[in-house]
Amino acid sequence: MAIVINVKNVSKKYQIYHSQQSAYKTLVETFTAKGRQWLSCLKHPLDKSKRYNPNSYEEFWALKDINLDIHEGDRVAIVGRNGSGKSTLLKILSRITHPTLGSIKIVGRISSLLEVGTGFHPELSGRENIFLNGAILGMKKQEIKRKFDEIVNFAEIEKFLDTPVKRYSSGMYTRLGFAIAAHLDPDILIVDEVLSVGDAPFQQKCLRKLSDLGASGRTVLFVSHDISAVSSLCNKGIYLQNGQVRVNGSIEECVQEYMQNCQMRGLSWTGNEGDEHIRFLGASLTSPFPKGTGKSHFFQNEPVSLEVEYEILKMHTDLLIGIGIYNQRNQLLGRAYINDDQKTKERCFMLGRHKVSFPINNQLFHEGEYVIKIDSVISNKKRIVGEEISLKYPIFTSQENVQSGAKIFREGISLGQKWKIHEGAK
Amino acid sequence: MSQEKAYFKNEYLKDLLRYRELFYFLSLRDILVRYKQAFFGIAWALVRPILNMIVFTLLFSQIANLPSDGINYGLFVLAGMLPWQLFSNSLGDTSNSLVNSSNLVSKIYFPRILIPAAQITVHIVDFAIGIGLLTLLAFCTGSLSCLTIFALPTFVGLSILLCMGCGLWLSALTVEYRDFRFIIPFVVQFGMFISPVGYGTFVIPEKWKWFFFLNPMVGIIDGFRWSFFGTYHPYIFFSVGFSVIITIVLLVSGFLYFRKMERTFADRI
Repeated sequence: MAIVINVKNVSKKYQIYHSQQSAYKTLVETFTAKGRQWLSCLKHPLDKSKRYNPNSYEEFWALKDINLDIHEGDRVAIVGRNGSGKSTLLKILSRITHPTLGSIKIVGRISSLLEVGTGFHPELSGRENIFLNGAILGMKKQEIKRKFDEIVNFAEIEKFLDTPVKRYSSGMYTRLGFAIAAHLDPDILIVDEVLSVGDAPFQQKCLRKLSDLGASGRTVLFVSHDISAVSSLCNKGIYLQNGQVRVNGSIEECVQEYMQNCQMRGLSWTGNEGDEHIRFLGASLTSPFPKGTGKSHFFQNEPVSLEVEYEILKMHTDLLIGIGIYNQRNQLLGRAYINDDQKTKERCFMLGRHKVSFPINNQLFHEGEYVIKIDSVISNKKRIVGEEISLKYPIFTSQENVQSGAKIFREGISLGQKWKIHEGAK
Repeated sequence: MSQEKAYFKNEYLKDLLRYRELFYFLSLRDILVRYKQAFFGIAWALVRPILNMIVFTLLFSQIANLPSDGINYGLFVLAGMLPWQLFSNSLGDTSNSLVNSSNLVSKIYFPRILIPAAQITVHIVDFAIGIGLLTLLAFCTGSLSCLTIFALPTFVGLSILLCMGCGLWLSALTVEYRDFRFIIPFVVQFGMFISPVGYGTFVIPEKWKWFFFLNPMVGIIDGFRWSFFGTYHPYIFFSVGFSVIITIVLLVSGFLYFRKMERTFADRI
């Protein structure tokens, strides 16, 4: 198969200036920095090291010497933790930003979907936004006209075509955004974490659409934290770690390596995981009856609470924080979001460090080993943490079961012991 | 590095062609939004220059008693007001255009030059409506010069190119220095008084004229008045000449600067 994307020795450097107070440079700062520099030259005419240097910065290599060949018709998953360089790589491949070093070669028409509904204007109607967004994604007017009905059907918004999108629910907004993107006809499609949003049936629909694209010989690059989606959709995988390619091979190989790396499960986790909005610092499952130090499991009648420590760095109205409880096969059994609770909501999303706890009722679950994952997303935009912070949550009914080493018995939600016996049945 | 540079350079012209429909949709978006939001809608495009015209006429004609080449002072002011408003509105909007579209710039690739260009298009609609109004008024009062009016498209084109040249510089500079946008309102306010909007260039003393011509709007406004009313002054040749040269310099240097900065817009915005 022909090579459609060739990435050669690509590196990307970002500079983090020390002297800058705000995120952006301003004229005023530039001038005052020059002034201070001259003044400090007068103060320390001999000692250069003491002088004020406005240009002192830290270099940060988001990508280091990446070499990749992507073949026509491949469906490639790019996995890695936050900050591993996935997004930077996608931005370089979709030509949004240029690499500091190295070169890329792309054969064919490329479309990238880094965000759903980019360029939607809230004042314009759904109809107008379909044309606008289509054009932004690189479609021709004729092409959009031809596919218009199909897009509207896919998004299920027939009734609201002439309503301004500012009145759309966030679900409708996402559906419309993805519907337009799904009807692009590129040779290469780049998709970043857009499937983590939207309801389950729609997610299924999107996955089907993406695998159709792959089946018809298109090349698909797909970034996701959702390991099950990635494994079912892709045939190749690239695992990035600290800006370098760690695994580049089959999807099985890649997922295996990735899972091994991020699932060092225990009853507690400490670290630093997140993005510019929020950082998670710790999570632990605790019980008020510590029977010995090396606690490794809970009993059904024990009250357990989950403590989470995090820091809000930048407020965002669509930030969601919550937990999800999964069984061994990675199926979601239940979840709870901080956002659902009106009383605590405001305080938990203020800037600064927070420590919250959530009591878990063990009696809700059958005996078995579960996984609790911290889940944080920016609604309809991106997933901040998904797989990275997961805790082991084993529940046993009795000491004997612990000793016998039995693991999975009847795992799942327990409806309780409510059987009643009706006397006198024949 | 050089290989990569060449790749992007060759692609750029092709991309501009490929994304011409995006330019159309971006302009359409801004036009639709503008007229949907404004209370008066399209009428706003007429109300503003007319109100300004009345104020300027009172100020410069009735109070300061300035001459106007024998043309009705209101029309005389309007002919200067139209290109000035195109210029000042474009200046204000283009300088913020890239920063305001940061969500697009950081998520999608397309030639960034379309963003400031689409902003100017919005004001061209207002501009066209204003020109229609002035032509009608001049025709009705009998001061329309039927011969020189055919030169008007040249000056319309020149004023649009000047807006584009300034727009390229300012939009790219505003990405680099965020406080640049605070300078623009000052430039616009000051610029109105050093441009012959409320008065004619002929009232400027001879020894100051060369200095005065450094403002590229002078040639454009003189050209507009000449096209509409056929009032010829020998200095027009120089003022228009300066204007053309400055416009070309701004346009070429603006394009080069924009292209240079475009590579890092997504990282800075």
